[in-house]
Amino acid sequence: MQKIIGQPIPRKDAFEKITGKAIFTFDIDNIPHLLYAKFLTSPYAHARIININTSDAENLPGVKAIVTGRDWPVKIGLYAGDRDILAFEKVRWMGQPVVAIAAKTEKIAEDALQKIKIDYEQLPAIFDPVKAKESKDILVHEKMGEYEHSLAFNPIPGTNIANHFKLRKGNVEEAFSGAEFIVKNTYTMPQVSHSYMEPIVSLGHYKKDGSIEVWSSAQSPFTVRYLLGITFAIPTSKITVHSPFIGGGFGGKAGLNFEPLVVLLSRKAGNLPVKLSLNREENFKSAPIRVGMVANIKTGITGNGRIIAQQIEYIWDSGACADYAVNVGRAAGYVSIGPYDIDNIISDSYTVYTNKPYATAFRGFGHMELSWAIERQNDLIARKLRIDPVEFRLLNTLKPGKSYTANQQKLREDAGSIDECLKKVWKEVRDNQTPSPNDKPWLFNGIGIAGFMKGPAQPPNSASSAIVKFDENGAIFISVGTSEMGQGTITSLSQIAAEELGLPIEKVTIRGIRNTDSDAYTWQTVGSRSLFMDGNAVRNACLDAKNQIFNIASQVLKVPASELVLENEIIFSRGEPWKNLILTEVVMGYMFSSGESIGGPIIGRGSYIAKMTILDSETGAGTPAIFETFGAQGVEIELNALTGEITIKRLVSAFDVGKAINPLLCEGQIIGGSVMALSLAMNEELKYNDKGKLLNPNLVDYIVSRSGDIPKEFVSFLIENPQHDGPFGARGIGELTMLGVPAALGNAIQNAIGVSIKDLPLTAENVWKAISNQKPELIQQLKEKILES
Amino acid sequence: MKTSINLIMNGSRIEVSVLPNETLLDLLRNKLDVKSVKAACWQGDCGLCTVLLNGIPVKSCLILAIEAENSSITTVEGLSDGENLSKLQKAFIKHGAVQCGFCTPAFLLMSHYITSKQEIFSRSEIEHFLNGIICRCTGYKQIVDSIIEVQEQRD
Amino acid sequence: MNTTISYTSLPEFEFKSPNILKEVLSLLNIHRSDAVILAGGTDLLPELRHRIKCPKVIIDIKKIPELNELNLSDKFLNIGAAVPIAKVLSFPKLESLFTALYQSLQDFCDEILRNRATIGGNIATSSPAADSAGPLLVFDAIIEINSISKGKHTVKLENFFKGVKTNCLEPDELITRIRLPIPEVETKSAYFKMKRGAEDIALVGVAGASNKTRTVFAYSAVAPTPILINASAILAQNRNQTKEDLFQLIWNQIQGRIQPISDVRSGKEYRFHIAEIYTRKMLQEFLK
Repeated sequence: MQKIIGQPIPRKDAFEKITGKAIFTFDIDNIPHLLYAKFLTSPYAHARIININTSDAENLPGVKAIVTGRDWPVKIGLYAGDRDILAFEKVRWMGQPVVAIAAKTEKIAEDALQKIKIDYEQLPAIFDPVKAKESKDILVHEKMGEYEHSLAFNPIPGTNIANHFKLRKGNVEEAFSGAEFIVKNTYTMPQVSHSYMEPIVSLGHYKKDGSIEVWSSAQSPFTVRYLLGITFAIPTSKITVHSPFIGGGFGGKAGLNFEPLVVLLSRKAGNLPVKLSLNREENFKSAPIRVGMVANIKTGITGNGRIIAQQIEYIWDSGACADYAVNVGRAAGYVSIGPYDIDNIISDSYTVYTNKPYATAFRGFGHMELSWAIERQNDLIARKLRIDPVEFRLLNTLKPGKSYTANQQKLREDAGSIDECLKKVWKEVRDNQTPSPNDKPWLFNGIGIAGFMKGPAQPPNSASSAIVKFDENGAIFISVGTSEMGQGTITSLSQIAAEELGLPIEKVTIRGIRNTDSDAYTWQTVGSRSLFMDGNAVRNACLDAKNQIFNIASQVLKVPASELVLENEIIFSRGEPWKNLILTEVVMGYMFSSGESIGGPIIGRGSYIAKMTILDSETGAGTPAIFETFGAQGVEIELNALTGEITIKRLVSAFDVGKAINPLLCEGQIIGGSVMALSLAMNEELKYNDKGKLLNPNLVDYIVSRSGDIPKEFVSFLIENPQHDGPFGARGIGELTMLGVPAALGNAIQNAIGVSIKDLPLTAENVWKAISNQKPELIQQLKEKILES
Repeated sequence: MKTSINLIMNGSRIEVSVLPNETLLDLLRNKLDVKSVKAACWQGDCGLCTVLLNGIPVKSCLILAIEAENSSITTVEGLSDGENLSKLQKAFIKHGAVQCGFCTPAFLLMSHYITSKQEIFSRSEIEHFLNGIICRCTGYKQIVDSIIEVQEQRD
Repeated sequence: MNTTISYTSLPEFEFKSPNILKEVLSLLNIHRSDAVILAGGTDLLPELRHRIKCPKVIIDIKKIPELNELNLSDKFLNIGAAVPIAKVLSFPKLESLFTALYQSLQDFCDEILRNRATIGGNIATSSPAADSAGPLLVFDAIIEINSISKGKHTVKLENFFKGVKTNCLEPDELITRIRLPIPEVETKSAYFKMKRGAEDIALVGVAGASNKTRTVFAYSAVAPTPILINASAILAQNRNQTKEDLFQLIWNQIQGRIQPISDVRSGKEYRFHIAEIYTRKMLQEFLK
């Protein structure tokens, strides 16, 4: 009977956040001699830098450092070293930082930037990823062949292809020739912005002794440390990265962003600390965004509804740099087909450069995009075959312990059930569907569903660790590398420890602020990996602590360690509870009545490393993920065919989380993730003109959901088919809550009015356009009915 | 040209010297070190800079510091007294209305304003009131639930 | 406008906040185009930050008593130029007498900004999408203006707007009041606004007011200025037509006057279509 696991306990950092005391990097300015930085950006999408004249700015009072790309022409990148700290030789997108200044105040830096004169020679630019993939004469990175890159990726020098991932299974040609139906479509999703509320902020201090200290709103402080070490040729032991509470990350702060720039400025400013705080426009134009997608899908189906062949081309618009986006392309590539059992697959996933802001990770990591494509395709196929959309999916879904995945692996028995998720959601959506009012014939009611899966996209040696220390009161302090950006994993990790050690939750502390010197290492806080990986590390650390505790207690109680139990802060012998010790007597070392003491402070240590393999570079075969969380989402909508406006009446979700360690936090992810996905699906799009200028770099014209936009009703199901190697059976959920929403919406529109939309976003205008194109007579009829009502 | 102005800041009288082009947001965060007031857009779209000016919610990035002369300003620090959280703060925690926490002070102040009025508002009226502040994490529902609970508790 | 530097700070300026109207007018007389008026600041401060406006002097009008008056006389609702929208909304008779204005103000930016934004400022900014413009036009609003050179005088709102963000105000002139003649009893009115989300600038705004003798429509965001169209004659002369035919006659007149454009917010075809849908909806309300 679990005491704390499964309890909806309030988050551990609630008090700090609710009283306004929580400190974000945005708030840090109490560092002595702090300078403030500002940068100016490229006015062109693609141009050679001919000359930068900084002389008029250099002598302005208060200006401490001016840096350009020449000051440190090292390319940075986690997987693909293709990004300049400041533009060097060329600018590759409108908005790329070119010159940065550190000064006593931000205003002085702004004034000084006005004095900088730069000459450019414009080059032809390329914005369309489909054209960019084919282009051999407009190259964003003509020196790609000279870049360093991780061996897991395949860039193609002489092109704009930063990575090509291949998935090959069976014989697609033969399968197509045997298919009764073939369905071909193209689906698209534009580049979008994370729009986390705390803008990107970094503070860097390159000290006189050659060490570096950084504060950054960063999801992966250990990665920042590692990459700073490579960039500046400094050993990691001389680098400290602090990451306080993060005001929203969603993947946008997952990698290395502006940390090298502030370190560079600090170095040039006589080793004074420098703070760079982006405003919203800068965050839109100069900070990374999400990949756009074009998906060409050809599916072969038998007469009785089995998918026998799937041929896919994914083209990912990565913008001017592809550091994280090569991994997005890879991750989407190795999943490609969704949670389905298909014997014959050809999939090619291309990450492509264009002259636009660069892409990075974003919640869902290619999977929300591919789910839009796959689940719309599945719905269209079901319609063509006249089969119920869920019945059709169930004929093709992966079955645990039986089916082989796209990576030619047998799906584990305890992988969880996509079928349960689909059935649960569809029943709830269908049983409760309400018709549209008769007196308003332009309102159409519709329902739609999508199924999906995702596991953490991480390198096969991705690892986590944890350290558990006790204090004199028997309370524990846990050191982990997990960053806190709102998801609340720290609280769930506390629950895991409390359960394992039999402690009340109040006696477990994990801070939400990270420091790479003192915190136990974790690879990154991304990919829905933290609960599983860091959770297992925490559990292992607690088990290690328990072993040490039992070891000491065994000597004192003269009972074998294997017979000891720890419950309610008492260690006792199973069956003879009167042979016991209080936890506090042991955790700092045990003292006999004679004064002789044994043991010492208990320090539990635990680690966990991923169980994956490298994927075959020709077929994609292997083990790409430590788990797949399955899920389904459905919506009921009311569509106004005259205006294209959509009201979301109900949003129903089900996720097979294995074990809901904290249902309140799970619900938070479900509501937050679905609303974010609705926002992306219905309104979000980065819009550029034909010169590559971002036209909506602000929250007026880049529309994100507000409180008045949310669904009328949410229904959520947490399904628990435990995964035995997860902590208490748990799998991750953070990204999953986004994945099915866009496709469910697209499918609901199809169901409501018979109009097929394959491009996001589903703005009222785009929906109206689709209806006007596909059913013009309907609009005409309905218009006249307004006056009749 | 600096001007000296008087303010009441969370109940305490203070005198500060401000420049004409300093916003109330600048004054609060940079001069008075009230870091609970956040900013994400600097032009009134996101609402994270919301404070109560003479009890009324306003976006401090759109107000010059000097316009706030002789006014009383309330930030989230003025809502609870030390360890004792207000009913609203407790409701926020209970319903899971806090995730990253960056928008929390603004929503708390606005929610406090809504629940201090006599009327009981419906869910959709509350959603309408909250449209001026963006949350990217929670999906808003839990914030609305918290306000509804505190409204109900009032009678 | 420099697009390579994105400012966070505001430019430098002198700040004046007079206590009497004469002083405001005197400052405007001296500084003219070097000065700008500050009421709610919701339009001005972003313009300052983006360096769209870099005035020498900013004149705060919020302390001027006349500009803060809000009252109903025999014949007019008088709204001082500096009265915040929230205060106008709380005026007891607003919803019943001026329904279209009430509906527009309810959805004017957001609840928090409504505590600062003003109708005076909305009119002075003269955006083609100004939310208050349509409703004010259908109620025949009169703009009261004052300056040292011309003294107090009035302009009908339908003659106030000249082009995108331009109006008939001289550099030394100040809007002091908006006066709305009280409509006939049994005047129906409404305001419909197309938005991209729960809170948004209007992609299209359609206001309308109708009683036995007069039916007018006003359109915003579909022309360089808000447009007022009088359909009274058409309605009077075509009482026996079907509703659809009546609509076509009215729409014919309107189509010729509106010229929606495509921009980052919306395409022109959609704007045109929504203007038609809202006009139908409005006519339906009036004919009930």
